[in-house]
Amino acid sequence: MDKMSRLAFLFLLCIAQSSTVANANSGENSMEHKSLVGSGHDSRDAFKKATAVFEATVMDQGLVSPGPPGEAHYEGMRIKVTHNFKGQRHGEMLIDLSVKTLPLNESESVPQKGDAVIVFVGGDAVATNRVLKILLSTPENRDSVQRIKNQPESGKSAEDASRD
Amino acid sequence: MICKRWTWMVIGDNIVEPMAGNNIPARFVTVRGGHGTIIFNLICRSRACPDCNRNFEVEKEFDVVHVAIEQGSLMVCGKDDWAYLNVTDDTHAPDGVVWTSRPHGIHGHGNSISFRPSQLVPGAYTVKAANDGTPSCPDVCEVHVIKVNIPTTNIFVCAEDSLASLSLSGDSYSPGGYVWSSTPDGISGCGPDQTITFVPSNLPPGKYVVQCQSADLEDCLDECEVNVIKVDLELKNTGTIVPYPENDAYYAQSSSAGTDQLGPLPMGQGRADFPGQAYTAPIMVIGAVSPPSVPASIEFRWKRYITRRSWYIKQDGGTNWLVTQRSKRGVPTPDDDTGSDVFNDPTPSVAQSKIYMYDCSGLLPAAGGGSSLSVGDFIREEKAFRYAVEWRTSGGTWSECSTMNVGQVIVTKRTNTTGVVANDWEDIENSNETVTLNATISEGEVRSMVGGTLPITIHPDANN
Repeated sequence: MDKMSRLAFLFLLCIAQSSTVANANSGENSMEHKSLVGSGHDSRDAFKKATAVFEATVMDQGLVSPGPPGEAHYEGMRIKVTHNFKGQRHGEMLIDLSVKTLPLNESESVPQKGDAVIVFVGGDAVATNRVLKILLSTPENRDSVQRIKNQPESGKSAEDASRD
Repeated sequence: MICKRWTWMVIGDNIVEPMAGNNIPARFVTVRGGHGTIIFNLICRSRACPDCNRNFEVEKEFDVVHVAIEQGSLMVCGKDDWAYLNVTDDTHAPDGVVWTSRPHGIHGHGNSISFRPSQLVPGAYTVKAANDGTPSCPDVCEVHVIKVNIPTTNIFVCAEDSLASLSLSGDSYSPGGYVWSSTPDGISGCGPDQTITFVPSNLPPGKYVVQCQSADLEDCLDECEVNVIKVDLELKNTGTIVPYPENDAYYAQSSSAGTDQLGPLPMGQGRADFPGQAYTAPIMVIGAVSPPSVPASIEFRWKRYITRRSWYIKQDGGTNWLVTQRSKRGVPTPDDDTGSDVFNDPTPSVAQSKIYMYDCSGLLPAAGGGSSLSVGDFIREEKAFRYAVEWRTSGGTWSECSTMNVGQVIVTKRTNTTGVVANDWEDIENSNETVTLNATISEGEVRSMVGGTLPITIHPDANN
């Protein structure tokens, strides 16, 4: 990291420290981030790797723990599955996920209680309830994941639209 | 013309035992100028008197061809530019000596020929020299083109590797085998195998010049460097973060915690991403890389694996301490919990040849069910970390070079209900030591926290 990068990093961290990053007491996330968990993971690739992809509603965020520097771990996020794109999951289930918290420009947000989301879980050497990626369940993202499902081996198609 | 090497046999009508069909004992008496006398020793036996043998000699003069190669067997090194073969002084080849070989590669005319081992495929050659006009009267010798080739000029091995090996190229050839040695001592062996194995963990870190010689031809050898890399890991859990420029990630590390202090921090401090909420004890794991100045083709990276459980220890109606599981992770298989590379420095520093990993592990006492604990209740967490340094050469496959287990024990007690973590939770223990924790809770551990004599009940699922 050169000096300019370090200064930029410090600046972003200062911003992060001056505004609440995560509120463990309320379980609410007050950051206004653009990205959800797994934002760096290409949707098509995540769909291919995941053992299950489904639409769900967040019932409870679970317990948050500090992870390694710049990361937090949510354990036991309770969700209710409403629609399957890949694999078969039904009813309520608990998922675990890691979220980037720093640097601020790369940080990710966590879905809130009541949010409708598309969840990619599992994969090779990944626990079956471990989240690879989450998208907000918008009409565009649903269409995009459906297209990936229908043409799993096709080229680039709907990736752009699937970004949250 | 006849060949000195020929054997002679009596054939013809009326030839009886003991000569019929047998070789005749014969010897050359002189060979001068190609002219020789052969004396045959014959036995004559009368049919009338089978026991009346008579030995007699028959002399016959011939023009004799004789070709003999001086070298019965020749070992040459495949690195040599030139090698030579010649016939003996008593060779008589009136049509000139012609040389051929199997496999093809050594050939020529004359009493002496030269050939280029460096241009021959290593292996055994049967070389034949004969009078050009009498090809059925040759002499033969074996020429072994020896090759000892270590295809790499230097390799790197990790001192914690249980086994490493060095191999010769597949076309190496030395029928008598190979002799391996090193300077300084440490890597040695001999035998027909083209691969030598050695135990890096038995070797002090540093550079070893390894030599492999042909057992047939000691000047035929090759060398390479074996560099034994060692990363000694050390836990730093007091003082402050090693500063820049020694630790390139200092700014990221200290900013992630909001402080460069190591060791247990006051309640609420130590996580910039959870301000006022965390109970942390930042540490560094420092790797001393030896020998210093490893080349740029060697890369290191840090890994952190975690197995943890945490528990609530609640006063159950004042009659009993009830222990229930609060959370777990990496059970039974440790989770990769390395996080972003931004917060560690895997490049050996110029000044001290050290690499640095930082961690500000902790817990958020008020998260989840913590806020509903009663005053006097406890939270305990045990984190079994394994810090690992992986390495690779020239962009190859990563493998572990060094590991260290660190156990973190966190104990905090609810003391108030103001809603401010620093006011509501007592910092009882937040330790990091180089131990391997089992991340399970026992009655003894609970007793040491709660004291007194109230019964302790550990829920059956507490250590699931």
